[in-house]
Amino acid sequence: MHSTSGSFGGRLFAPGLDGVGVPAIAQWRQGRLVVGVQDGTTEREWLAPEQPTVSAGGFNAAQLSVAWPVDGGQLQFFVDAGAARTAFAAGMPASLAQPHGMAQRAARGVERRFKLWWAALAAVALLPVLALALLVLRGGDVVNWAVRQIPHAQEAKLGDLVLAQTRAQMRVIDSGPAVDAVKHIGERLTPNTLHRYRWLVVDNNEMNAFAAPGGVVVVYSGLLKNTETPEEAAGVIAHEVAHAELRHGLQGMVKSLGLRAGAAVLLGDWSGAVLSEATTSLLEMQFSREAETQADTEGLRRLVAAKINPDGMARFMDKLAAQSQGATAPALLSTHPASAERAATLRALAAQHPGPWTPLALDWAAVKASLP
Amino acid sequence: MAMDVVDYQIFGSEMQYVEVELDPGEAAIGEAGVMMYMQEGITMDTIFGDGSQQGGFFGKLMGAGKRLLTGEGLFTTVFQNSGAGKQRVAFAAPYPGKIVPMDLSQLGGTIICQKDSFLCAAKGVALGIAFQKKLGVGLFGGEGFIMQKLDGDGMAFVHAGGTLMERTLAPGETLRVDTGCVVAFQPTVDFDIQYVGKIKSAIFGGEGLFFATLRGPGKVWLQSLPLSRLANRIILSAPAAGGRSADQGSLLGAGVLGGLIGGGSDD
Repeated sequence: MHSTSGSFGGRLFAPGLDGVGVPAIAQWRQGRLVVGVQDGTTEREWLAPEQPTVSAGGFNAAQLSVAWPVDGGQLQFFVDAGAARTAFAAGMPASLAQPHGMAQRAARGVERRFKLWWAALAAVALLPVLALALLVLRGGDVVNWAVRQIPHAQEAKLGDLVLAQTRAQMRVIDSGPAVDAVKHIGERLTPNTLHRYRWLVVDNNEMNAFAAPGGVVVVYSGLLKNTETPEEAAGVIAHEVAHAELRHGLQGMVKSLGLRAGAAVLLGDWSGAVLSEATTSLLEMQFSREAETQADTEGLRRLVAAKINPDGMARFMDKLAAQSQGATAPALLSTHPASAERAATLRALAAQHPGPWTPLALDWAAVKASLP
Repeated sequence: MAMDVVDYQIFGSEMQYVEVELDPGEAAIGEAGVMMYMQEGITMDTIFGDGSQQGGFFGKLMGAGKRLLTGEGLFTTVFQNSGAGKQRVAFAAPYPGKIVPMDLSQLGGTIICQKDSFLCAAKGVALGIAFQKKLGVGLFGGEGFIMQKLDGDGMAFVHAGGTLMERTLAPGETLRVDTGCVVAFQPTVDFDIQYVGKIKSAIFGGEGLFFATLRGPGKVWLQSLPLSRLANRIILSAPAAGGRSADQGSLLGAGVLGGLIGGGSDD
């Protein structure tokens, strides 16, 4: 058997040889492939034509095959992997470079497509997990994006829902100086708004106010009674308006809904219980502390823009803080940051705006007297 | 690693077992649960992987992980002759069929076989995983997707269900086979899975939607009865699984009379 330099090993299939192939040694001789095998004691040699068929073959196209017709059929020589392939490529004539390159690309293509398939399968399998991870890690961005996709008209429908719920659960004061005063202040705070605001005063002695999606602002009569000046009430209304304008209600909904929807997808629950549950909890909506701080800042900005003295907002915070020293904290406080801290922050912000302010032309004593 | 040269003898006709003779110090590996008997002097050891990995713990872990993919146990059992003279250990086929002895040194060192078909081998033969990577419809070919690769130059024994067909394909010669009927082939054989192309024949013809194409050169081993096909028939006719207890020749069907006449003598 040849073992000269430049020779390389492989497996030969040819008529007259064992059907499972025999180990063979090949080399390039004047640009033509010579394949030799040891057949017993004798040596047999095959000389390839100048243009044999070079291709990728075998299982997964992982083999490099050289084939040509011989007497009694077809001959096929498979070059061993590794160093033998390198030796084959180094010695081959230029005319074989193109089919050799195609064979290599075919083998690599099989490998690449296989990996792509696996990657695609893995991606599909991991999609719900990735979605949830995205929501947890970049939750804020995802929620904001989702909120931006919801038109104001849709949000207003949610507001209608809240309105109906409020009317069913609380005694709403429909007309009178208090409602007019809240509306007057609110409209000064919301020029060029996209919302259709609904201003409500409810008969409830709690010191509370809330804003629901779609521009429903509900002020409790107890809160109005506890204010000295219309500016104090304006501070609270500005805060709630800021919630509505910044669409915090929607954000909260999308967040809880998104997490629940994600969990439902992961757990395979498609019953729709998620949606109905989310809508019933509109009234119990609570904002994050971050949202509260944002609403304070935005509210103050709106007060300044409307030329309403922002000191009222800070003074009202003082009042809340004083109340929270008592036995029972006002309802508004349970979900809000510490009032004394907020008052200080608001004072610092308000100090940056020297005025001048236009006083609210409201007979506040009459407003408070009109409340039941 | 030097391969252990083993002498063997196959017994039985349709339910076979292979008896392997081990010289002192020689060892064989077997799938867990296929050992039938062993003589005194042979010690059994359960190892992680297949005993061919040289690399440290990580290599062994990888090997074991791949074995999990092919549906085998994490561990392989090594049967080593620790005695003085020649000793024998026998491995039995798990279902009717033939045991195929393969001398890997004669076959070029590598064989691709259907997962689950491996029975036993000389220690040193590496059991690897071989994915059928030519996709397209290959991914849906079911049984032909994840295969097993036997590497080495010793003896390996593979089990084929039913009757064995050995065929040596000439260069370019093509054979189309039901995917489940392929037992093993040389890596020079181009193995592809093709779509039958006719829903009608797939639904009404009772064949699978896909078949395997084997193109030479090289040797292929086919089985006439894949275990899945056998299991399918058994379940279909098992009364406990909602099957019918009547055999195909029964004109009376599965009624009470049919049951009496059939007498539970078959199925």
